[in-house]
Amino acid sequence: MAGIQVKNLVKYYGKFKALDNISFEVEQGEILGLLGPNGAGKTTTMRILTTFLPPSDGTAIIDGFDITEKPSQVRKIIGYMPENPPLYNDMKVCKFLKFVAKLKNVSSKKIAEKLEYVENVCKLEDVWNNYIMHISKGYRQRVGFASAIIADPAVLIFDEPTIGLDPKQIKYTREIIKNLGGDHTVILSTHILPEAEMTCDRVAIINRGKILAIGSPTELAQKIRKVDAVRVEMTGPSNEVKNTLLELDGVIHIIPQERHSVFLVEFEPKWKTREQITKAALEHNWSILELTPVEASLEDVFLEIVSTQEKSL
Amino acid sequence: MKTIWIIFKREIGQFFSSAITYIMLAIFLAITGFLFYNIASYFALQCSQALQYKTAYNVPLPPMSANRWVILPFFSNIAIIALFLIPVLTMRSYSTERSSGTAELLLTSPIRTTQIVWAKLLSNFAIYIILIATTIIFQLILNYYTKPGIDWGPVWSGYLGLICLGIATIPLGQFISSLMKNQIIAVFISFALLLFLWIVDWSTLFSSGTISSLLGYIGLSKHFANFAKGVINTSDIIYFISLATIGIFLTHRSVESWRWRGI
Repeated sequence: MAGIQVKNLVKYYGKFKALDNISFEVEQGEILGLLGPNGAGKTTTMRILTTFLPPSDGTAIIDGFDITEKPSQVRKIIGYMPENPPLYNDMKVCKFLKFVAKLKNVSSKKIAEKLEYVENVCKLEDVWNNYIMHISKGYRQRVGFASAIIADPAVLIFDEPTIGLDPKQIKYTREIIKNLGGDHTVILSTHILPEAEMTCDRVAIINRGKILAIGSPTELAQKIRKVDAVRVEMTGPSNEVKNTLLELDGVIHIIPQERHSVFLVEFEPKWKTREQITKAALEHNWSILELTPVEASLEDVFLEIVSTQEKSL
Repeated sequence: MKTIWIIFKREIGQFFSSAITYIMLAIFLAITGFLFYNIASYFALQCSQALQYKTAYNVPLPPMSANRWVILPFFSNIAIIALFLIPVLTMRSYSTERSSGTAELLLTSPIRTTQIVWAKLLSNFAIYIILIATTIIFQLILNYYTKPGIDWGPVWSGYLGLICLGIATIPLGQFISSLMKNQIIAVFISFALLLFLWIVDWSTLFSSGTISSLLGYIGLSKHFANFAKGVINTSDIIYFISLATIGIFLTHRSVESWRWRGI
């Protein structure tokens, strides 16, 4: 069975409980984002999955291999890029990648082809013959990325893959990761919400060693949405418009927006508020300039879920 | 085997791309050259004095052996310098993997701890052999200027002794390096350990008993001295190999422990 099944992972650092009974599954070919604030347990989870650290309890099955029983098999099928890419500063970029390819059992016939592939995909042409100690943080990140994908492993694990990159590189890296999904099972960690929203099929929100929610970004947004909201702009006098809107069924709040004629109307989902707004506008003979449903973003979901947990502690 | 070769090549490459290696080689050659010059000059002085005695008092010439007067002290001196060099050689092997995070690459690649340990051991040993081999030039010089030349038997046994010294002490230095994140701390502790092993048998001079004879056995210098004299004992070889086995075992355990202790 392909994919990843994480079962009740627990990790203690001394007395500190870094992971508290974490379980989740990743389908084959899926991109899962681990989203959480600093110190949430993202890196620990990834280090356990890559067999770098043993779990204190629980286990995970990667592509049918148990990480605690068959770690050497697991290492053959994973590509891992830690947050600070592990690079030998005294080697040239091309020599280093060749070394990594050999270490990961890429056959000598395929090495040249693989090197060319990562050189192109990771755009390393400019630094190909430079010593790693002389290249910039962004390039180091890309060399780390190249070393993770060079052996074409079935499972890829990226710890904060876009940290330290410039906006153009960030966009490009996200595209590469998105393209890797499908053929590869990918887990990536991030604390950048739009990144998770853009690249991942599903997102697991993690804080204080616990998984608080898991699902596609849209599912998560729906899950926490207790109220619906629409942005409204009408041509009527703004006071009158506001009062009319307040009288509608199910309206909870009217929040004035950047211009005085624009309002954010929050209402209970069961009422057909948008229809009511249209009718009201017709009755008063006002024109509707804007009527946009506002969806909760992943950022709202994240803040909501994390702050709820913090309050309950 | 293939994996060991891959890591071995990388380690050797690292040595030759680093200034420390060249500085070490230069210092080693300078010091051994200086020592050789002094020892050989002293021997030449002794020879000329003996000749003067012979002509002045018509006494027979005492046996003047280059092996006894030059090679034996020279080997003891190389051994002491090797004690300084080996910690410098081994200090980076594991500590930099930890401090730079590259241990994460090695430990998550499909390779076994044994392969890492052997590759690092062999690469340090290869560099050590290169260092030691450079001193053969002094033996050739001595052979050229003495008649009927030097006795090569004790020379080769002396080199075998130096090789055994490396086999025994490099694993210990690497073990210390695997415990430390900081290579400077690693070099000092390794040096202290090797120096202790070198001088520990001095205690037998002033006391006797079980502990004293045990300390006498674990001392490096006595076992090495036999080789330098041209005496190859099985018990000395067993001593060096046991020390190496302990060092390799401890290094292996220590690297394995990175996995559960964390880096």
